Amino acid sequence: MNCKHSQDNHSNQVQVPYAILRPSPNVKLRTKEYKKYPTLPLHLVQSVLYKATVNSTTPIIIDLETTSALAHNKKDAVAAVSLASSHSVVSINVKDNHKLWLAILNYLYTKSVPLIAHNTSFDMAWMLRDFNPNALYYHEFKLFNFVGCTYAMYRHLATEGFRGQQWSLDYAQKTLLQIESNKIERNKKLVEQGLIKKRISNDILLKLLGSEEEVSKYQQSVTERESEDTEDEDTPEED
Amino acid sequence: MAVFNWDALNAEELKAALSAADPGQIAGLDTDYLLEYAAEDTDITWNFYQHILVPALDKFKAYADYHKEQMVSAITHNAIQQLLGIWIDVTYMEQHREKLLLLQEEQMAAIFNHKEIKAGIDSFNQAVLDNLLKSEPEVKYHKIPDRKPEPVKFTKEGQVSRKWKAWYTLEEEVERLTNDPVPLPRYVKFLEKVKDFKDKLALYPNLTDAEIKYYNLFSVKSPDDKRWLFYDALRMPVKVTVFNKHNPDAPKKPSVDESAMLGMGEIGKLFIDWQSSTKELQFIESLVSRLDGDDIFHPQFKIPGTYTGRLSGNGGFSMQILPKTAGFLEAFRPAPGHKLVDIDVSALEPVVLTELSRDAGLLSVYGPNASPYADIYLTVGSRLGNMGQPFRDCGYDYLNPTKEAVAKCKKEHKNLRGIVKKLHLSCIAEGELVQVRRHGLIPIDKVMCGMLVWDGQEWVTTDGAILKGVKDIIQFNNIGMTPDHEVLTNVGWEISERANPLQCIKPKQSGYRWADVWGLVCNIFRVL
Repeated sequence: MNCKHSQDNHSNQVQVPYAILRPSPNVKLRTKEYKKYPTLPLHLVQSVLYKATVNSTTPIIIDLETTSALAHNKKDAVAAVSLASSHSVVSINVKDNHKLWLAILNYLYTKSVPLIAHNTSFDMAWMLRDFNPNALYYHEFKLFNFVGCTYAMYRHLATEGFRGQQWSLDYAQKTLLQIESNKIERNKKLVEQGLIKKRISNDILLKLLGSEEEVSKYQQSVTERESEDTEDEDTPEED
Repeated sequence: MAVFNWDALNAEELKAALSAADPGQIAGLDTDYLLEYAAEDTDITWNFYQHILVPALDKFKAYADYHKEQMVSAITHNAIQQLLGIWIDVTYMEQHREKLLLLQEEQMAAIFNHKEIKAGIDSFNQAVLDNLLKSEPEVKYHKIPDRKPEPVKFTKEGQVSRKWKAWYTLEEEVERLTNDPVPLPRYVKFLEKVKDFKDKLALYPNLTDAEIKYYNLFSVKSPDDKRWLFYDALRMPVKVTVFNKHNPDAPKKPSVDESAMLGMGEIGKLFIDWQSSTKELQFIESLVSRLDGDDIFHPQFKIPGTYTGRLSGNGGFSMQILPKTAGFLEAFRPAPGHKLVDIDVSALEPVVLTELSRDAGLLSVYGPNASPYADIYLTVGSRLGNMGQPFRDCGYDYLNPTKEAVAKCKKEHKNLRGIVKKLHLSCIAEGELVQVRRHGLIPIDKVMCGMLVWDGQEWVTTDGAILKGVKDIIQFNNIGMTPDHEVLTNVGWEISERANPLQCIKPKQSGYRWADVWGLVCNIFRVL
């Protein structure tokens, strides 16, 4: 959505001395082909996932958006799941819809869909946690058909160790795919929705919003959101 | 919803307003954005895989197979062990913590009761106090609003010149301040600051870390303070220096780590003991703070996490560098009905080395006809001269090793075996000449422990050269070295491949050598 292709602004791209990996400047994102499902009825899960994954010439890339980085924290949950194949990209909202999330997991498990993620360890931990809630031993876990991890491959195939080298998706996007990052735009959106925890100074807020009234309104909305979060945390879990 | 005018901000303000988002924050976005960003990340990952990684994997089929079979398995284990976690006996851990706190107090007292250390620290803190007193506001220049100033004078240039006069001595001033309903703020502040400092100094070292930092007092945790104590106050010889790889141009500082303190006798030992208990206490606090409601710790690893592809700790607590004390490790308990199993691969490095090199000597230890009791480090050690005598005394015969002799050597000469292990794995770049003080250029394999070797900037002691694998070398100033070896030139540290040999800094001679004098005399006669 906010990504611009590097051909518009080639001179600004970072040049890095990779020995094995070769930049590919002609990559284009499928921005118009994203299929987004804010709500998805359970009976349609199979057909949606079938269309998204069948006949793919590559393994399916999976990415989860979660409410924290800690998969072992029972209070946290998966908010959205996205799957990319060679022909389509599907994004499904599973926030507060555990049944839908389980149905997706069930499909991926029963069809043994070959999966890859960027930092598979993270995504796999969330999937295993929710699909095997009662597993106590390694052999009790029903495993998904993960066939790789792009982070691990990146780390193994780019061991140059130059100063400032990173292995994040954002860094790969900038240096190898040569697509401008939209991280700033994302962060702006997070600020607008009062999600960035770091407090912004009043001077900056005044510049952004124009009047002190608007600033106080914004701060009130952030406080309300934070208090809602705290209440959620205080609510005892229902077992 | 508020409408934000982002264009109003400059780059710095924008950076201040935005901060890195964590996964939890992204998940809180409105559904439209959440789905959009999730889809976009997946699309980027797909493109990264398809257009960047797949062409590389096609070239390295062996790696592709390894990744699919071994790496995914390791990642799966990592994810599952994070979920299952390990139970920590918190009660036991708390008891151990209390014991450690007592021990730490004793160690701290031992440090501060040591005559030389105490003198050094006292002089450090006194210097801080002296500096504070030097900042005393001078009375004669004080602006005293309630008193009569001299009339305003105008200079020739039309500038206003005010001259403030002191009417009181310092003692009078203090008395006045005490009784004056309108005290002089700056001076009162100063007096309060001095009093506060002296009060805290009286309590030293029983202060919090924050207080010690605030008052700039000597901190046993500060490397710079320790550096001052060891090398400036106590005049310890500098044996090891710290090289900042992130900033090679930065001046080298004397090291204050454990290896440096090992050579400082009793004083070094006091600090080493205190540091190890402090480190253990930090581990305990960090571990306990990360337990879930059932006292389960969920270890996290970054996989892979290093340049060489090994694991590294993640999530703020690394399970790979735990203190190896019984008290700490005993708090890790298996689930009821289970046992903890410790697995360690026996002599992994030499076995791999044998496999790769097919060296006859190594094959005699690990080859098909080797004795099952042969120990590579004892074999190497027992063949050394004086150094190997203890192993031979224990009955280790490298041609016919016995189980008893191996056990005896491992038990009685554990440290010596460790040294031989380092020697063995650290192989030597045989024959290369290095500059050694009072010996000139000698082969690196002839460098003995304690010799002073020129490192490009200064003479340093060494425990021996270490092999970093087999690599191509280049000749730099007649010394064979790898192209990435760093050398000191008059424009700073450079890798040898890029450095100009003419700019290389040569070691300083401590005096004329006879060879130099003879060469000089010959040259003079030649000219004449």
